[in-house]
Amino acid sequence: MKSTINKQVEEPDIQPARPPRRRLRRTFILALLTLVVLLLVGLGGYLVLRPRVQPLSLPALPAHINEADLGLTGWQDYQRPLPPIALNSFDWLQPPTIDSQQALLEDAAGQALIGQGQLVHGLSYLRAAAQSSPDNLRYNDDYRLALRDHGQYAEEEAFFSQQAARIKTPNTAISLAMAYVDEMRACPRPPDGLVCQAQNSSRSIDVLNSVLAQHPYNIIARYGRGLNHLYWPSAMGHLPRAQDDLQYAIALLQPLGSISSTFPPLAYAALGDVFAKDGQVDAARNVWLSGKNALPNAALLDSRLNIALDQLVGEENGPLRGLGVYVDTKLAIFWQSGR
Amino acid sequence: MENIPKQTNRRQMLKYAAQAGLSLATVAAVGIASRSDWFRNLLSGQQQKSRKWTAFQLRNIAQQADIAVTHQKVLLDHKVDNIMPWMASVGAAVAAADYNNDGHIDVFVSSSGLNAPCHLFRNNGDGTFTDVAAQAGIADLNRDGGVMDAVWGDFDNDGWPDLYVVTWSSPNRLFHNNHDGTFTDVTVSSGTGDRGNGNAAIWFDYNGDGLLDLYVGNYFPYVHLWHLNTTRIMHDDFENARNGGPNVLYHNNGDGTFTNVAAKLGVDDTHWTLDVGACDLFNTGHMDLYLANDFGQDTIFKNNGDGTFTNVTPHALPIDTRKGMNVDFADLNGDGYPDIYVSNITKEGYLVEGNFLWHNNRDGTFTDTAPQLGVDKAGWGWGAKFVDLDNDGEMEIVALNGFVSAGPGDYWFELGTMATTPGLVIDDARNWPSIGDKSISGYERSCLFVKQGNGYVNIAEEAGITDLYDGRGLCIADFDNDGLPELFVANQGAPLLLYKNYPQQRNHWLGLQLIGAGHSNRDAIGTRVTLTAGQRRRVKWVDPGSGFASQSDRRLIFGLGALDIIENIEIRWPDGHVESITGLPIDRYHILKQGEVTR
Repeated sequence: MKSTINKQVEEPDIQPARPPRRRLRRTFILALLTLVVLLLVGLGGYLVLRPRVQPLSLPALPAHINEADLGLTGWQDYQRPLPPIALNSFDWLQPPTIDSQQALLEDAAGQALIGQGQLVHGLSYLRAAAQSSPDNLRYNDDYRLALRDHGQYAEEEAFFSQQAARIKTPNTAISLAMAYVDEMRACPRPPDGLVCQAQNSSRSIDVLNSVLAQHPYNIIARYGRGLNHLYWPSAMGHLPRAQDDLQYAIALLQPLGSISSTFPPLAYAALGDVFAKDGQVDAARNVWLSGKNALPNAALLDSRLNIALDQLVGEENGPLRGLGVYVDTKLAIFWQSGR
Repeated sequence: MENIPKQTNRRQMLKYAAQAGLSLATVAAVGIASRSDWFRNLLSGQQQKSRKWTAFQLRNIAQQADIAVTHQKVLLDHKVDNIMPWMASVGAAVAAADYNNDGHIDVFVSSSGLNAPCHLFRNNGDGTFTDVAAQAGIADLNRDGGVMDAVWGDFDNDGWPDLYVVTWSSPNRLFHNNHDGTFTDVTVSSGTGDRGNGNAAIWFDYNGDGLLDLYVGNYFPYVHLWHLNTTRIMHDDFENARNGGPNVLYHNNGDGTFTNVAAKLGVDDTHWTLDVGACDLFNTGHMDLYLANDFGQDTIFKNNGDGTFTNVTPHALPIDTRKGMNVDFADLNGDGYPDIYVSNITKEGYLVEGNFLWHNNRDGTFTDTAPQLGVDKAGWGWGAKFVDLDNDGEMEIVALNGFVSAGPGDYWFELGTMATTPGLVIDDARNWPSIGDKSISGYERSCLFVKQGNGYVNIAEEAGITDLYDGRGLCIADFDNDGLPELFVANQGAPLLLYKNYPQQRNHWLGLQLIGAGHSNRDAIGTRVTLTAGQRRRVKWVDPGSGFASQSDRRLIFGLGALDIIENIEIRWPDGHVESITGLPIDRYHILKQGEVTR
């Protein structure tokens, strides 16, 4: 301080005090420069950290894929609301009849009866609906899921095996393939029961192979087979096959567009999970971000994007697609309204 | 103080701006670094490297000890050539006992190849061993069949250990100790020559008559593996196979003969038993059986105390589809109930089963605590033992591993594909893909799990366990009587290893050699000893030969850490008699004979 004072005393005329206007200008320039630096740093940070979405590599599809190609013929029927059922009516005490005209009513009655605790009776109605319209995915799905939810895996496999053997359509085969997936719940929980689970998955994949050999754009079979492959231990080499199927599933979302289903976010989530399980975390996030671009309100994709990166790498045995995580085989995701 | 206006020129202004920019860039860089966990990883890596485990410095002294021999594998019928590396993957066994009563622990080591000699390494007491198997009459055991396991036990209570040898496809052999360094084959007269294809045997007194009985764990069904009539000899399921050879329980008749009572007592289990252990699992004073079964559920036979057993597996254990390879017991929390360690198979990306550490719930059930304690992942598991290597009173776990170490190819993919293909008849060896020169979980490093906090960490490499052999039998024994146990490792088709521990700091210890009398077997197998020191209980049992292809030193060593006073020792002998003793000097072995202990 002393030397500064001395300096002032010694050089009073060399650096005269600047007028307030110049000081103001200097302050302004300083503030401006700081702002510019801040902006540059911010821009740089954004460029480094901003999410970059690369276009997904998807298979090319023929120009005119219709609902039949997708395996969703009659999806409007599947969307019909269940009719109200008065369970105190005498009608529902009777055994069901195998009548396709009654299928929707029987489906509704079956679900209502199970809801009231009459499992055996309710299942008989659901079975009747499925038997009367064996190619109807909705009735098959409702009966199959009821069996699954009540642990009747053997009955599930037996019924849909017989049905697929009797009526050889993609839909009966898909229902059987899903029954095999459901049966994995009967295996011991991992890390036990891995062979049991894998054998059921193999059976499911075999069935879906036959469907896709004839109907390569069946979106349900594609997604079902892709998910089957996704859950295998990675070293068994199923991930490339999962990737292939799920890329198809995303490509097929475009022709699916007319059906406002809940499915699209699931397809993006699953394909991202393939990459995550393979350790390709950036590629996984890219898929989910692509999904977000296409489906801005997809909360499922938000939750995927919020997972810490190190947790994604541990996906092999993790809670998303790890060994022993049960897959929900509810096929109504393909026709239930999501918007 | 006078207010002096700042005099700033353009250069200074630019300098300030640059400093501000630099500061912001630094903040941004730190932010980015913290987002990427780079900094944290760097720090944790440095912490990892700085950790030292000076209490565990293991060195292989096999060469100096003159035990540098290599195990020879079996070569079976050429009909199973496609999977011969799998078939020939067992047989390296080791069993410890002081067969000549000179106060030093000796060791029998198997070889399995045709005409390959087995070894009896007599402990010279000076850090070296001499192979005396030929003079003893127990070298030439591979003329017909192949040796798989061996276990010492004084079946006639004459004070001299006898030897039972388990072989494939030829009668098992029982050798009576002649008290002069030689043995007499009494297989035929004793009736113990089971012709099964076993991998395990233990001596224990199941019915409390004071005589050691013999339980044999069989693996393959009753076929002659060198002269096969069929190739349908394999397990028929990877998760629940029950087409193995029936296990055998030889009841000691007390006159030099034995009778197989396994079927009568319901313990003729046909799972693919790889190891057998026995301990008082339910604190009833009787020894219960634990069978480590390959390809499915392990089995617990509870000893009813009246010469019968009850299969309590469904109640005691959860469903288990794993590949049981080894069983060992220790009371980890001093509650007087043994906990159980079981080796299984872990192969990342294919089959992550994990080993079991069954916590004894004291209500007849067990809960697997291996994952939470960090002792589950140990490769393709084989012999595994609890051991207090540094005598601090905490048990470590040594777990051997490695299946087939061969060429660079990996058979796991073929194995996994076969196992998961529905409808494939896997019990037919012809349906198995050829293994050729491929490895199967080869070149794995054994694990040494050491207690740290509430769990365990694997410090094998840091401690000096660096070999990559296919480990099989693991024998824990104090060959030099210094109170620090050594690890004697029998490797499949590879040299023996003898790991000696050279800790920097020595803890106190107490060793006990127990001799049963009255209605207890002389080997005192099954005796429970409870030592109290520093107001903490430590409980150990005299072991019957548990552990895959191995038998450890039967003497009990209690690690005391810094404690130099023992408050009490309570001994519950096999016949139920209880004796207590106080004031035993520490840091040495004591021979305690039943009925002469209390003071």
